[in-house]
Amino acid sequence: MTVRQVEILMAVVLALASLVLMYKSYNELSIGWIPDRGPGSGMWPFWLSTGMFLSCIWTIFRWFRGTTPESRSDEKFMSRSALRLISITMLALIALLGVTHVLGIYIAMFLFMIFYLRVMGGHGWLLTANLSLGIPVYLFLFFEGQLRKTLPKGMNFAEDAFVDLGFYDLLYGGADHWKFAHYLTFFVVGVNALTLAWVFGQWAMNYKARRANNGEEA
Amino acid sequence: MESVIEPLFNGILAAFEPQNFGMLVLGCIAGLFIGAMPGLGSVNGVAILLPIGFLVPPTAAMIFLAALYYGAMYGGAISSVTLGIPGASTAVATVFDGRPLAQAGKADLALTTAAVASFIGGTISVILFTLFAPPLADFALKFGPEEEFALMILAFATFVGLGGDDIPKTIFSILIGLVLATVGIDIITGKPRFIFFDISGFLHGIKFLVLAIGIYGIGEMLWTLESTGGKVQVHKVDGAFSSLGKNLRRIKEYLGATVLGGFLGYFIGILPAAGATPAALMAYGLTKIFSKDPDSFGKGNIAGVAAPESANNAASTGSMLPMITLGIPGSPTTAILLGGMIIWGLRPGPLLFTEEPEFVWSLIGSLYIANVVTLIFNLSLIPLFVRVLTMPFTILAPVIFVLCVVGGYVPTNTLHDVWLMLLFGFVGYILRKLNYPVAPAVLAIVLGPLTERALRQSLIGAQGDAMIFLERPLSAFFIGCAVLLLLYPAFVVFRRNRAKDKAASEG
Repeated sequence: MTVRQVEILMAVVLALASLVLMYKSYNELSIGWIPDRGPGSGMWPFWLSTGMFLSCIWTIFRWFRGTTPESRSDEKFMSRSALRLISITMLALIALLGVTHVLGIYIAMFLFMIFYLRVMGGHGWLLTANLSLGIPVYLFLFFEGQLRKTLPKGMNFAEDAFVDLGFYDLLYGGADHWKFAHYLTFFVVGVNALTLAWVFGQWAMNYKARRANNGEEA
Repeated sequence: MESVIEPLFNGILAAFEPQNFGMLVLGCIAGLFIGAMPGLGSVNGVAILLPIGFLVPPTAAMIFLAALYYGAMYGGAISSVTLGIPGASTAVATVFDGRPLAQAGKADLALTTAAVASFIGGTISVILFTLFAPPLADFALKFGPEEEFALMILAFATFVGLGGDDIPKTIFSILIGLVLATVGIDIITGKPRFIFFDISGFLHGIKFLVLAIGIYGIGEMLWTLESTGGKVQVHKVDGAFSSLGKNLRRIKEYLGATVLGGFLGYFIGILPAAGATPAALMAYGLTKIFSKDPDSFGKGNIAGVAAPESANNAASTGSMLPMITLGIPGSPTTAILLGGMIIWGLRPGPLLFTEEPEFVWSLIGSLYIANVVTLIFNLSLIPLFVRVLTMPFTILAPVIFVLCVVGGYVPTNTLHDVWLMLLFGFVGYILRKLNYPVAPAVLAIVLGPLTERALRQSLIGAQGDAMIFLERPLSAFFIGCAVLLLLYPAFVVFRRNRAKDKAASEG
């Protein structure tokens, strides 16, 4: 698809969407003046969507006149490699949310990070493992521990498993009750932080070498 | 004048309270980092990190986010100079002279200049802010809903008149933002509106954060992934910081440009559509015009680094002026801050100064401190940042995606909002590729509920007579300015056509 085709397609789709919004506010809400009550709930959205529709018509008009750069461009809307990168990323994000519904966000983001770092990015296992394990753990400690905000745990069986495994006892069971778990958490976080520092440190050290390499390539 | 000094002093003291100061330092460092990463700017950082506001009291949260905003303006220069790509759009103009300086082996000079100029520009604008804000808030206390509505219209009109984007697309972007804000239960009649496909998730409306994180988190990441292909190219830069003192002493050469950039940036920053990017570009242009040696610009003149850096910092403070005093954000970043303030139960607008003086003055005080803290961190951490910047984008992207998902979930605890956010991110990315400006939509979804309420209150008060907006002198003045702004692009086209005709008839 060329930029030109996408431009007109998008303008038409947006114009149709505006029409739907206009119809919805006209049909379901009152767009006029209600005596003694003031303007109806549909007035503001109705005129806004009318404006949206008109601006789309304007864009379509300009497309036929060839006024905008997009309406004259016959370049590809997306290159093949960009299309691949973006569609894989979008699918991965959809999968992230889909898995969240079933197994909960922690497992979902663990899998997502592994996929993205290892498969997409081609990074080493040490970095992959540390980030994909570390991020869920930190987010759990931060949101559920510090903020007392629960994140989605998925369907009932996954949530039950989460409780059975004692993750909540870690936060609510009291330090005496779960001393072991507390130490374990500190241990995991510590190891994780040190490893990440080491990985990034290595990488910072290699900076000069990489820079020289790039300099040669350039 | 005296009335300003005492609360300001208290505000500065408040900024030094342990929690506030801790958040301030964190914000500065996070901001420097975010600003320096190509593909991430202040607006992305603020959108993604706004949920931090749930952790601390509003004052500390606001100080954190304001410091982040500030730090990001400093940070943008780092990648402009070292990588030759602007860390944020606000640092585009810094590339023009920063890059040649770096190529000539003077990256340290360029970076020091950028930091010092940012500091001076920031300081000028914070002082202007302190002087202007209280009288403006006093003045705005007289506003009724009619003036509020007229002012919102004026804010939107600046996008059409000065935004410089395709006009029908800008209008569309504003309107769709306003429409998205109407989804959910109507506050005045209690009727549910736009419940698409009867999904109950729409009943609680579309929170501005869903759109903001969608566009500035997900959409921006997709955009950067496409433009970098997942990699960031490292360029050859040498930075020795032993010559810090020598570099600092060259301040004489760019002091004039810096002060000019500071004033210009502040006043342009106040306008909702303009902001830091055009301010920096204009400051660069003007400095070049006034310079004794305009030819050296673009080849590594340090004044060409100082002017835009000073202007973009000043603009970031400038854009906070209408947010604090009028409740109208001066930039997309402040639009998100404004939305955050509403979530935390503060009502931005003129009453803020009288009702929450402690909050306002702590924020203002923290701006002074943030300026100093960022300068110090910037100068000392540059060697580190330069190394971190070479991090491949495939490490940063998944971390940010995950943070976006969590940030989209936390405010309402529904996955419905996260799906919506993903949709907005994708559609926003496609629209951005077609040159639809996205910032007006974010501003509009924040201002939408306020605009509609002001409109309906005025209409009820006037028994449905829309002329009320023209009968009240102040609102008539705002509407008049808005109309002029809306007509401005037509005027430009008219003049260009006439010039063309003239050239044609002469030729």
